[in-house]
Amino acid sequence: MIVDGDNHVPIVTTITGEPTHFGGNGFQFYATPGEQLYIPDTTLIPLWLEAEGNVGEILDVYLHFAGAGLSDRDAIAVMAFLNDGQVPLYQGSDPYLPLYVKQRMGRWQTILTQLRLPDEPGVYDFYILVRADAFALQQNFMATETSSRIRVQVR
Amino acid sequence: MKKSGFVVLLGLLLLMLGAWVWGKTAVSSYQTVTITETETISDTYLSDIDPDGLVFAFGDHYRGQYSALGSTFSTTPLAGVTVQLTVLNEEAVPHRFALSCLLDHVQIPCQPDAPTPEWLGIAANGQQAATLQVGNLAPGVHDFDVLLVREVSADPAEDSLEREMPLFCTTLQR
Repeated sequence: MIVDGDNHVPIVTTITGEPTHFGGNGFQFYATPGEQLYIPDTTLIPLWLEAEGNVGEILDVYLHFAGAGLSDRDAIAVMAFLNDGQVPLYQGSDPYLPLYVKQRMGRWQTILTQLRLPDEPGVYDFYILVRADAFALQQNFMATETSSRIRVQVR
Repeated sequence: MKKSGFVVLLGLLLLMLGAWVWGKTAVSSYQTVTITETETISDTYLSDIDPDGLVFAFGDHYRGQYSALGSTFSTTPLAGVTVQLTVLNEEAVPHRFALSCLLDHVQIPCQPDAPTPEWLGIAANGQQAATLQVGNLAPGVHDFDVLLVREVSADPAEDSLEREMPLFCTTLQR
């Protein structure tokens, strides 16, 4: 499933292609608890280090991607981990493991996803790994980024 | 503890194996990649090992490379993928690492019947080897990624620094 960052609507189901050669790593990724990437009136991007919620609750997770230097033909694979075990990210009631996001060159795109908090109270380690070249074949370059490690207190 | 120590001890290894079924077989090889303070991996293998950090090494890669940097390889569905991974902890304290394998972006056991993730305990200035085995590959092209994450420290000060650092290294060139 490929999700478009503009409208959150799946638009592509499969990608096949010829070998892709990237001209450089312009790929960037950040995860934030709110929609805004930058601190207002600055060019600073805050680090997201902590979150909290009740058992079974939904935690909003905004994913920000900058696809400069990559191909629109490829997709970004988004893999989320809770205590080092992979967990799905949700869009509405639909779980995605992994979540694929359509690549957009030369611009930022922001996507809202949700993490479903565990049913057991405790402190969890949450992080996200993304690969910008999920379906590229024979590429000479791999663009991988991660979020910070987010300590999630589940009550 | 130096800041670089925290940076280099959080690592990601990515290994893409393109399983184009042309009857190739595994061959023995050995390459080392080094994670530096700036979170890049050196282009020169078996050299420039960071004295303050973590070093990864791959063995047994596959004949038939389809990319200049050797990130795409061929194998057969029957042979699957077998990779020898060596992790060196060059810090003066022991650490534990969560080792995960990802096939086509989904976490799988790194060996049949292995736990997910698998934990590697590495002594101070020590090293640990692991064999990664993935079988029953369907014909086609697959992504095989190896993820290595250092356990969060029990020391609150160290924990905080770790969390502020990017979690993984971002590039692997093999």
